[in-house]
Amino acid sequence: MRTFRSAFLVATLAALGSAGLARAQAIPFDIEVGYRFLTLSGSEESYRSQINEREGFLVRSIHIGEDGKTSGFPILDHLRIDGAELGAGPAGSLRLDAGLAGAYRLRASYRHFDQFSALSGFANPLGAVVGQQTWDRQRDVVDVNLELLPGAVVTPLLGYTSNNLVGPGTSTAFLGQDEFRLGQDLKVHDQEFRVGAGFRAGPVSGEFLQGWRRYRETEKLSLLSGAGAGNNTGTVLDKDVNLSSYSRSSVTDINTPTTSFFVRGFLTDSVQLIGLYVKSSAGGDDTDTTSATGSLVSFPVARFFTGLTENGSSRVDNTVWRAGARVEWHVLQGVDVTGGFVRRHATWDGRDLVSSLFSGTSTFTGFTLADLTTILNAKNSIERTEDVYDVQVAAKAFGPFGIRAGYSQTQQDLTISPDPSEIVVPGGQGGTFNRKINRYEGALTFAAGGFFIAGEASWDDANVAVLRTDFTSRNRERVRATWKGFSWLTLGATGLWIDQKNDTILISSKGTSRQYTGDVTITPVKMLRLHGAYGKMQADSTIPVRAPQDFSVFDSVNKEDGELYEAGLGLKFDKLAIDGFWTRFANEGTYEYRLYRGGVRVDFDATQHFGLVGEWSVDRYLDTQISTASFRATRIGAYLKWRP
Amino acid sequence: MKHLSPGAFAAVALAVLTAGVASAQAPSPPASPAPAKVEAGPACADCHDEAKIFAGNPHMRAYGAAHKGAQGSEVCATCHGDGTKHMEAGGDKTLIRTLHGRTGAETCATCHKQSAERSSFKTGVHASSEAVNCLSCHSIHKSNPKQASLLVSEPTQLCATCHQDAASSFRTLPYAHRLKEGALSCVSCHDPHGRSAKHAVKETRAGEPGCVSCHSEVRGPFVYPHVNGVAGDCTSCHIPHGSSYPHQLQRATIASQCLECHSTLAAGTLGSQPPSFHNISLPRYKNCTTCHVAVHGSQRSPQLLK
Repeated sequence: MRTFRSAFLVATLAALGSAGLARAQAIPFDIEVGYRFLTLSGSEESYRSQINEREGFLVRSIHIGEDGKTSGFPILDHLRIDGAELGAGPAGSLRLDAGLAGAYRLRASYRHFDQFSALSGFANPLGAVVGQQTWDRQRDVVDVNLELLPGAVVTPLLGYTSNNLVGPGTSTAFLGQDEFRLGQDLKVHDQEFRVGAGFRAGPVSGEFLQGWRRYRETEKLSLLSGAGAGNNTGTVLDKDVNLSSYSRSSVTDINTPTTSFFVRGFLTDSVQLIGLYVKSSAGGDDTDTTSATGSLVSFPVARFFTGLTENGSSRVDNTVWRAGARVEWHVLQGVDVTGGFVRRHATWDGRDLVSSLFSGTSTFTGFTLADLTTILNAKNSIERTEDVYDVQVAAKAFGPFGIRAGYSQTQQDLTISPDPSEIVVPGGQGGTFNRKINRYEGALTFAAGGFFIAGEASWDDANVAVLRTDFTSRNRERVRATWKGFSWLTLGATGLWIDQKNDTILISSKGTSRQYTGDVTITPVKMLRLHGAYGKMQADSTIPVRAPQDFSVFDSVNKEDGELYEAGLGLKFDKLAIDGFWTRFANEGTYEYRLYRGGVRVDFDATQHFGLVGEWSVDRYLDTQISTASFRATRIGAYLKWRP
Repeated sequence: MKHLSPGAFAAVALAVLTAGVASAQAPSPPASPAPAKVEAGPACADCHDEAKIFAGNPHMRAYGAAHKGAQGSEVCATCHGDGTKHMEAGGDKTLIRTLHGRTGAETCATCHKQSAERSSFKTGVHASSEAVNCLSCHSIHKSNPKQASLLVSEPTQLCATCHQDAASSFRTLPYAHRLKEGALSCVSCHDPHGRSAKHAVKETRAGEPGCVSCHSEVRGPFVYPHVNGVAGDCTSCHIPHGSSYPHQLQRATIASQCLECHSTLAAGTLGSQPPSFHNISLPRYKNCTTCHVAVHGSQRSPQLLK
């Protein structure tokens, strides 16, 4: 709530300040601000997890300097600010683009997201209405880029990015052969400073950029009130497992310098070469402390215990580099050949030291024993190399036709050396894996006589799978066609077909996906636009899996069978505009549900400077699997438009 | 497989490139095409309202900065050619170059031709066919004033013109990224000028999936990584265009999501079998992430328990 108020206050002050400034300098200014009411029945948790448009003040949109010019500022020759949905969220933004030709260009953006999750069907072992892992957080992302002397031989570049994620949540901890619900307080601050330069010298140009990223995360967890009994209602070795106190705090610091260099040059007027090199070296340190008391069991140390104090510290180093070269050859008018090679290489080295002190210990037969300290000292490593070659021919000047054909090959080499502590059940956690993927792709477009057709297809084959769900062959085809035979009628249709399988013996997985949409737009008169659409979505996948408890093999099946209806209307008079929409989507696949959405917006320009906007919208979600997750949300908004 | 060291590889790549460029005899490409000489006489703005309001257009600003004292008609001529005969003929449209379709877009590529690491105005996935070209999304004179980059409409709406299937997913599936507010749009994740590989999906500068630009808390690196960047990526488990299932997962239940990889029915794949006390017929073990909370990677627990 505090963040929402802050965002709204900042936006309003910025708007008013900018309005005064804009008015003084004759810069166009346009704002739409008002209040949104929300009526909700059913599951608030589901509504907020899916939509999260809340009641409150809202800067619906703000535009300053939309014609891109300024007058009267000595240091600006263009300024534009665009903002949307600041206030009662869930996703607001403010963007600025300003500069003086030949002197500088400044681009900045601020984005705010309300991230909420409290789902009935997730982390829900007890079948409660809301799962045990939830969050209600705010994310604020700021990005600033300054280019000095644009167009000069050397153009210095400066940049800064900040990404903050803050807020409470609930989580779970596995301890003493039970799971317990915890309160969680998470603070993440990720920021990067960048400095570099672009350059242009005759036929050669490029960019060098050095960045320094620092990531800091602090997390505090504590036992939720009433959660000491845990999820396991039974006993373990005839002993009731419970927790009377739990606290854990951890701090993660990661520093990542990143260097990138990119150069391009014209060999001739029609041949361009591009080279790149990027290196990023992340070094991360983590410390954490856990303390817990209760009646607990540990199978690894074969004891009951009443207290645990755990201290851990770890270090991870991850170096990534990428280098490559490309050529773009403009063979003749409308015909281009491009090709390139890029190698990506990454290594991870992890070291982890954890000291665990078990106090109040006794054997499973009841003999009291001394406190016990265990040490985990783990070291693991991963190395991954990926080489990608690609070549493509595009011929776009065959009258109404455009054709593209391409081939690429990806070679992946992966070596994983896990620490023995990672290996719970032998097999599947380490080794060397090599995978080669060939891809053929093509596209065809046609545009003439009111017809537009675009089709694209890709065919992949791989020699092996690294993950069981990887494909050994995959085909994807997509076609979009529209016909605008009359000025008042547009017909469209889209089809998407995806088929993939893994032929490996004892995996034998297959999956298909089909999506069809048809749409029609009618504008019988200029002031009226009618739109309708129908869509069908189907997906089927099966893969045999093994049940851990009895080693039986069964098929894991996923099905989607969705049907969509959409309708829309737009009506525009001199000072009045009305827009409305309605959609219905029903899915009868593995997870059955229906979703209805509708809304109307009425926009009235009362004077040259003022206007009124009224909005009504509804979302109705009917969950067939978990009926308590269903909801109906109606929102009514009243907004004032002001153009001083 | 033996690999070149990064430094040696970069040195070779850059040496080849530099040698190629150094040996080239081609003249330097101009920053913008030289304007045709316009004879003294009436200016474009005398007849065309578009020319009167062109001062705020980024093309006018860039041209003005490069050519001090330039007149409006000169910048018009960079795209439309010499308008002298057009003017003398009283505005005959056949005597002036107008920009439509692929051939119009070729004019844009006269200046906007330099390629970046992952995208290219000239040879990108959307570049310059008759069906899709620069002028499908941008308009020099009639762009939407509420949109940046001279776009004719908001990016998501423009993409939906052809990509109806993806647009429908965002509009109608219960768990999807919020595009309608404008803080995110299709171009947050895709580069419309990008190359066709991997659907022109944006990556971070270091080559990570673009998802971690916002979701930085799952970026790592982790002492005990899981999937992301090692043998898969975010889309191994999540569907970014929207899903019927919580957290935009690929599967309706967590047990299905996890077991499809973690089942050692066949040798040679990565992903261990859960121990036998995981009785997935019980709700407690169907919800894998209740214990394995650190599914994106852990600094502390080999089994991703915290």
